[in-house]
Amino acid sequence: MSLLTLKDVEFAWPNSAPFLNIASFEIAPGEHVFLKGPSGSGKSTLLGLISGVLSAQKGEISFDGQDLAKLSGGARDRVRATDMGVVFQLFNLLPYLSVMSNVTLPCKLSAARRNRVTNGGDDLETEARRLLERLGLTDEKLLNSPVTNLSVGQQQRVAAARALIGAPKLIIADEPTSALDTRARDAFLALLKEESEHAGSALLFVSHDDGLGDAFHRRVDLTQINTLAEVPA
Amino acid sequence: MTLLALAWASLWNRRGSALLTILAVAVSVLLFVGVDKLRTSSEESFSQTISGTDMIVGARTSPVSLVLFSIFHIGDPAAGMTWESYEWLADREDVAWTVPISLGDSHLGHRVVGTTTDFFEHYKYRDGQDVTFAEGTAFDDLYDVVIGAGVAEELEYALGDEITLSHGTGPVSFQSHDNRPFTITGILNPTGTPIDGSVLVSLPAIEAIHVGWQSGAPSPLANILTADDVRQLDLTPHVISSALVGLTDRRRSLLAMRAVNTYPEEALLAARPAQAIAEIWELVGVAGKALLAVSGFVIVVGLVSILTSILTSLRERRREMAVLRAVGAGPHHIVLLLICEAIFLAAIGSAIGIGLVYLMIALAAPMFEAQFGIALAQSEFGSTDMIVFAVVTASAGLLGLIPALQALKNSLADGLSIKL
Repeated sequence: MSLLTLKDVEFAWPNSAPFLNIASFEIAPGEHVFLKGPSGSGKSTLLGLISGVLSAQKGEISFDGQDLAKLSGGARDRVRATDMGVVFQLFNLLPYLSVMSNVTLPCKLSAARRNRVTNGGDDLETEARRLLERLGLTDEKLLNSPVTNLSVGQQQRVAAARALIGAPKLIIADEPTSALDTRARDAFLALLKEESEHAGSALLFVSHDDGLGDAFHRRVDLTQINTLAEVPA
Repeated sequence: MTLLALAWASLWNRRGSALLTILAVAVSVLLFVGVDKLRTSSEESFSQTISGTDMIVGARTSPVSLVLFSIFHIGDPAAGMTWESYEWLADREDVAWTVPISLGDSHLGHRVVGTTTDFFEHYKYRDGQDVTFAEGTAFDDLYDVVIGAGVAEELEYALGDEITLSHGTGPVSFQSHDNRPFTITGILNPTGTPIDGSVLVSLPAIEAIHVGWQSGAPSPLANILTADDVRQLDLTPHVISSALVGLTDRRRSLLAMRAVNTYPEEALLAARPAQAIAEIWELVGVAGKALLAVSGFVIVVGLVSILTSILTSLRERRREMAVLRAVGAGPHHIVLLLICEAIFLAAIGSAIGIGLVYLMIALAAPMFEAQFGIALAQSEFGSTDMIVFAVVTASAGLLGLIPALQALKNSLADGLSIKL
């Protein structure tokens, strides 16, 4: 059974014509999917729908056996808090929290996610430290300093640690490498894939950079699954 | 719990502007609570100008006017009450004590009060405090005078100084009784009542300075008689202005008042001081109420500054909200977060404001009591402070809904995408 299934999903922003129409899209548990999505292809909208922040007008989006459309807004928020991790292109972190607090934040908002960490025998900080270490952030001083002291590359790795903590079922990465230089990009991508695998999380990696797609189990072009996408001439 | 911590961390991150907002709230609350304290303290002090006196009796007029001229030395008695009536009153069985008051003269703008030494025994103010002497003693000789603390300070008088009294009550009188000087034998402690501005002499002294003045202007006799000649005359007063009365049984005051009001020989009026003073405060207290209303509006300004500061922060915090949504925060979290912030700002601001009021009271109370006779020290931490704190904080929470709903709208429109 797939982790995520979209079927005949249609979405329109208020007072606008339908913007997104996807007949079928699936992600299997633990699968790493590369989604190519140039701007205007409905990428942000799709991610909003999958994460339950937006709700589709038509069709079915099921995640982990639950139909998101049938859940209340609050229940969708809980699903996201417990079973999804999100990494954005930039500015992933809350500027007023320390690195450590940023990483453990999802576990503060979801008891289920916190329990997954603590049932493994670790406390939150130990797990956060382990993840940050795996991602190459070992400087103890860094952990309790404000995130604004970090370089962009470091910030993205902290965001990855936050997405990964508590082993959510799905990691959504929205152009997480586009602010990084080539070397940092490759390293980040490798770490993200490795850790997702380690946690057993499926990974939905969105980028306009086709060159990154080779490392994934599967490659999907949003302009092809979204029948309403403005296909560049 | 997490939300409170987040709200706090977010505020701390913006502590510069948050501090300014807190300051605005603190100052507005300080103003309101301060005005309220001042108002209640001054009402308290005002209503306690005289205590322990059950009735004030004078020629028939209105109770307010009787109290105004007898106690506050404002206005003049339209008519006096005869000495015979006073004696009748003093001899009544239900009357424990009487203190006569005779007004009509002044010293450099300060009222001269003719009375007896019983005045110092029976006149009480503020919960039964006695009028006490800072220096010297009560008047004994015909030409002795006791002055209030305010008079001593303003005119820089000391014991033993000689002063002259003038006829009439204007600040400057063209008609001085300066051929009969008085000697200061006593200076009173400050009371915060009109006594501070009074010059007290014996009843015979009032008669003495008016020998030869019975027509209201000096007759040749006024200048011929020396001070010592006057001592030989019969100085029993014919008319006094009013009398302070203490009853043997306060519960029977209605009966006593009725007896006075229906006294067949002369048209008299008995007034209860507390009641008349409350009526006077109704008029005087309007200023305090107006001030309180104004400072109430200042609190509204303080609350609006909370609203402004949060609203202006929203634009730069759209990203923060999107991040929170991404890690699993629901719309209600966003709303609560912003309401918590508003509540934090208001609670800290009003706590500081109220704290400052008490600090200022602690520092300024002695000076205030000495200068204005208003006992601020009586105002303890009270339910009013708690109500102000609660109302300001709750209103801030309510106002916080405005930015909260705006943020909610933003966050629903933004979804997970972060607009740069």
